[in-house]
Amino acid sequence: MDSIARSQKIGIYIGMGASYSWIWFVKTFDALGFHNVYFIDENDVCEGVLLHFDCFILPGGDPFQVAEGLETDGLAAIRRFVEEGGTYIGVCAGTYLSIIFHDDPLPWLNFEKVPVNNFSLDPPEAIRMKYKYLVSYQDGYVYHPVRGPLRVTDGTISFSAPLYGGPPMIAPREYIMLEYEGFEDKTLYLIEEDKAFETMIGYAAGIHIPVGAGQLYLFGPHCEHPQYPQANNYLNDVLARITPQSDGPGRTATDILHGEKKKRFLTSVKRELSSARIIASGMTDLRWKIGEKIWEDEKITYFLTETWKTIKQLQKHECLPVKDPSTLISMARRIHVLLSDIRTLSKEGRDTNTEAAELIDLTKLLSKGLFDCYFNYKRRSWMPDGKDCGRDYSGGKCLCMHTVR
Amino acid sequence: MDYLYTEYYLVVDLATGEAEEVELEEEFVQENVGGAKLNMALYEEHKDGEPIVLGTGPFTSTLVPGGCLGVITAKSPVTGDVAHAPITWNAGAELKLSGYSFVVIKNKADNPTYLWLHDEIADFVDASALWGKDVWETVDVIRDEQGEDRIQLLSIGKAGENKLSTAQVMNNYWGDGDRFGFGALFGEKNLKAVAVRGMGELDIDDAEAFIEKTEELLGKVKSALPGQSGLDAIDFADIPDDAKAALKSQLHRVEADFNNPFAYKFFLKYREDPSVMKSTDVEEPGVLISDPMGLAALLKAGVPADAVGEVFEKAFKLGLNPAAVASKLSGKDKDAALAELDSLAESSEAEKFEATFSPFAPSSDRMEAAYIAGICPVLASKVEALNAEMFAELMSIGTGMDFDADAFKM
Repeated sequence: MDSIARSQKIGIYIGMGASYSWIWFVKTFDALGFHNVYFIDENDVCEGVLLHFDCFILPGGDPFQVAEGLETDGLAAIRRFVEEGGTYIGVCAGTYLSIIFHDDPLPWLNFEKVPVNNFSLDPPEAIRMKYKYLVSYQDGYVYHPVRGPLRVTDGTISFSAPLYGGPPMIAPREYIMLEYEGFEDKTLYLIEEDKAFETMIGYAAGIHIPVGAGQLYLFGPHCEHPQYPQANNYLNDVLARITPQSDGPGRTATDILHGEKKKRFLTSVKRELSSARIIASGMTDLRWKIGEKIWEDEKITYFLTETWKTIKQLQKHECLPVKDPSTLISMARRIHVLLSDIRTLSKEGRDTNTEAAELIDLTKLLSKGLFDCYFNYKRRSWMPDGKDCGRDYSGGKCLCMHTVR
Repeated sequence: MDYLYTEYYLVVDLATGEAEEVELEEEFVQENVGGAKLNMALYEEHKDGEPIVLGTGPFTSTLVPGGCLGVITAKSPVTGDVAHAPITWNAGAELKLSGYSFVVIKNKADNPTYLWLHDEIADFVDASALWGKDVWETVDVIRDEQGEDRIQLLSIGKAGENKLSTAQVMNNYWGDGDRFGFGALFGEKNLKAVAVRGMGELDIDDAEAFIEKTEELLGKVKSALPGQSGLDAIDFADIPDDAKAALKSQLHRVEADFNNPFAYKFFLKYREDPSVMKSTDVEEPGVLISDPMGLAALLKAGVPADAVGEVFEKAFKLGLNPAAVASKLSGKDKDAALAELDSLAESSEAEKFEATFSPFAPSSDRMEAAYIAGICPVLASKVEALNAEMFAELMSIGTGMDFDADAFKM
């Protein structure tokens, strides 16, 4: 499949409740050549943007918060998107959110009844990471038997993929694409190994369910994790089954920055982001509970590092199609300030949950802004005239019809 | 430069507050290699601005054993000539990874300033509130201001602010190998400190072969240093017999520079039991002897061994070079020596001597090559395998360019 063939228009949910794992999709899609990628939050969903997409991805995170953010209208918009022919890919939280695994389910997407084998009224004892192995749901608990890499199989091939809370599902044979096959040396057991085995192995790790004119692909493990190339290939094959039907590559309204303006913008963001990641690199053992999700300081570091790498790539581009550059600079500055505050407050032994919640939101938005910029640049070669807006922008307009600043 | 170095070096004009990134061209590296030699070329190029050049060698921040060295090159108020002092521990390595393998600092700032280098960003920060603070306070304030305890600082204390030739450019809380009074040049330029944090990465041309060669070299280095560390770095000839025993009684731990198999630095504890290894409530339990030859100079001058720790501590806070003031402390007991340091930080002059490289490390015929390569000169003095031929081979592998042993001569 050449790059232009990977034209499926993909929306990745990064709104309320999304964890940092959506960045894995970004990295892997980029590596696989999927550049028609956009980032969507709860407001976008409610406004109906999904109708312009071939595929909507709901990545890992906190399903309670995702549902809260989407509210009734957002959830209905997703259901409509699928019923009218869209493809929904759920991973971990995105999977829990879309299935019915309790007789009295919370008002989530609830597309289809798919019991999970890690729901219990009386879950096994944790042997480690007690703070994050269990999430309460209605009258019982969803527990996480293991974390990290494990083996999954589609019946013909077997590969490694990491699990960070995703479910072992009990589904009809015709729905099952992947099963949990076994554990690996690096699998981290949160409960006793034999109980983990009983809970996970032989159960569905990936399922495909037709819904109306559309379909669901639901996964427990993170096949999008960039360090698992075989899992990435599997995901690639899944995406290849989606026929592009949307309205072609999007033209996000952007400014194009060249030369000194581009340099000044990137330097301003770099200055703040560098300071932020330096502070973050010195943090240890900080942990926040935001919604039902536990965030450790290393997740912030990961976000900042990946965003940093994106800036390094953007530096090499001859022009930057960027939406609202001054807002991105302000966000970077605020991220720096928040990290500085968190460092000071935590040294004094004070609570930093409020600052962390704002920090996580802003880090997500800044990453989004820069990744948008990256994919916008990558998509330029798809423009009808095939011209490079960086090389021809006389008269205040580039050939992509962006305003030149 | 694609390999072993960063893409750019930095030219800072303190008078205008401008910093210019200049591409580090392959031809320039081919001709000048790095470290003291490349610093020298940059010094000549920017001579009119009376520059201080901070530089690194090709192996600084790499896996090459001893690859910790940064170099300060400037005209020494002590020798009257251009000279090179080492930047050891982690600061040299961090300098390169901050995005700038070389930094030329020209002219004089109107007001006290510190330079904050991070991720290819050069910030000029007002240091008016730091002027007058001692070195330890300065380190704490800047680290707090920038939010990380691993920020590496080259700074001055009162002696540097007073532009004394006995002043030293300090490396974090401790002294380093500046015997040339470069601290006075920082003071002349109103430059309180250069702070660096390096989170960058380096590329190597043939990485596999480079690592294989460095592993082979590491084996040779280790076999040349059987069990040596800490006090073994000191030549105790001409030092009172009881000095070693007195130092041993205060010895807490040894410390190594970045990727240096020879842990020649050592920490003396005199405000709590040196056998206590865990962190305690004692805020300033002792001092890191980062300059064993400087300590030897104090002992030879007759400063009692049980007092040298506190003398070092005070000298470090004041930004004084202990070796330069050793003779002024001759025959004094602890209290008198400590009191004398206060007046020496107000007014003192280093004894003149001739040298191109700092007498921080024992003299050896490998010193020059080590200063060009970015290898700790103390380690190089001990290990014959760390020589120009080896460096040329490694540099050729690491860059894909051709270098011979002559390249590692000034």
